[in-house]
Amino acid sequence: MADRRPVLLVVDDEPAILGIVRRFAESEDFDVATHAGGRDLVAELPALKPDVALVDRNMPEVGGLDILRTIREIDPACQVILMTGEATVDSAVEAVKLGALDYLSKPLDFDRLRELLSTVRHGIERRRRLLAADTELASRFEFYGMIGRSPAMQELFDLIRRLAPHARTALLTGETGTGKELVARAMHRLGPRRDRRLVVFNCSAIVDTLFESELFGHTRGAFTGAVDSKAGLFETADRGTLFLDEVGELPLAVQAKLLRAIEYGEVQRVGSSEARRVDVRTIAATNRRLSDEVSAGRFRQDLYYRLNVVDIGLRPLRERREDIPYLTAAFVKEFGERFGKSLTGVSPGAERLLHNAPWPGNIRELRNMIERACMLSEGRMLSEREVLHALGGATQRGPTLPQPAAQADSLDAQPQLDGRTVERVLQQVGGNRSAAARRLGISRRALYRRLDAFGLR
Amino acid sequence: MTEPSASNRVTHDLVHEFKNHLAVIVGFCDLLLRELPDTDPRREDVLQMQKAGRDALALLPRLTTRMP
Ligand SMILES: Nc1ncnc2c1ncn2[C@@H]1O[C@H](COP(=O)(O)OP(=O)(O)OP(=O)(O)O)[C@@H](O)[C@H]1O
Repeated sequence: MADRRPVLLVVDDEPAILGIVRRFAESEDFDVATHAGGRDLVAELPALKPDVALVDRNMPEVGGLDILRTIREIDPACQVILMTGEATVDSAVEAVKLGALDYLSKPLDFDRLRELLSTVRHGIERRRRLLAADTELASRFEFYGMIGRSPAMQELFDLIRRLAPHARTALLTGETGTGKELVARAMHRLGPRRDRRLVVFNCSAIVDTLFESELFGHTRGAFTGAVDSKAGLFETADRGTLFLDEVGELPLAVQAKLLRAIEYGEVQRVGSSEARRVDVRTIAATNRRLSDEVSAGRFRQDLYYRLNVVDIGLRPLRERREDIPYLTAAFVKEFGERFGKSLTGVSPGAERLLHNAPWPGNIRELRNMIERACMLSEGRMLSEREVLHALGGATQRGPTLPQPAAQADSLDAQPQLDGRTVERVLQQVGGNRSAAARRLGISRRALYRRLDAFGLR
Repeated sequence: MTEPSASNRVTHDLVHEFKNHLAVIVGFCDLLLRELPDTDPRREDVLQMQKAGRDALALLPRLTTRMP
């Protein structure tokens, strides 16, 4: 890929001209593809991936200006040079306004053409260097899988570095998709327990009645269905780290037991009177304002204070937009490689769109969007159109589904919600599970259960 | 502006065709001149052809501007 020869596409209805340009450009170290007209060109562009196209302006079927427009739209990385038998100032201006690199008259001036080809070649090299530099920069601003060059992120990395060796508990606060789980993982990897387990538990993913046994385990026969005794997550995470995502969803009764586990290192399996000792570092995360939950009586104040000893706040993406280009470069690289496409970045128009979008689903939404755009992409840069298209999924109104009945929280309450619907809605909202749940008219917990049931998690 | 007469149209199209053919002739001359070694005696022949082609191209605008 690094020493791929640049590709010139020549479109002219006069075969002799095709032959002349081919011979010239090949001697200039270009690979040359020729086309006798504009028809079928659109379908072939993605496979050809030309770096530059030399297009005759006056052709019987599809005019050169239309081809120019099409190429600029499908593959903005491809430069277009128009040629014509009768160049006028007006038509040259028009072509350049439409994005042509230049406008040549026939017979072609080879010296001029050679200059243009070398301009194109330098452009390719510069882009390649830029992408390499961007990725290089991105890795410099990377911290345990998190990318961020904004002061907010740099401070966050610094805070994690300093706290990780010491903090026994921590509370991570931030909107959905801001990277709370990544922070938890970084804390674990940088802390003294890095060789032990990190157990992840999503508190919104489970029904109320099962919390206790999930977290603390149960004895055999403790309740119907408890055919064997089972260790809870606290025991599993013993001497390691337990990450409790969406801790605000825990029922009050369980909160009291959680406090005891954190404060005294004591857990009791359901159905047992015996207290077991565990040594677990607990990292909790929430996208709610827990202080509000406390005022509303939904979250225990003592547990809040206990968790809040170390409070790490994650800023939403819209408040640190300077990170967007770095995140974008990293995601384009990741998905370009995953899909086997030689993507070199995003077009300036696409970059502007990405920079200005509201990103309610934060980095997860950006990442999912780039993934979709990379999947769709046919050029070497994500175009404005591809980004709009991929973004469209996140802003369009989804299907309006019936409001849930009172008992919507059981899986079969809405049998019409099949896996495909859930997946589609989730895509439309950029992976933001709260928004997906709202749109589907079910609770977040119900959504998680469905995701589990459909194997979508 | 008056409508171009039918015979003007024909002339115009013919001029266009001529230009295309001449562009091919001159184009191949240009290619040959790039490819032939500096010492090759045939360069002189090709230069002659190239010049004749260019001169012919240069005449073409006079055909159209002469038209009434
Ligand atoms: N700074 C970052 N750099 C690169 N990728 C990131 C960053 N932050 C988040 N991501 C990616 O965004 C996605 C969401 O991150 P994560 O699951 O950590 O968010 P969260 O805050 O825990 O979300 P939720 O509250 O919905 O559980 C993941 O794919 C993660 O890899």
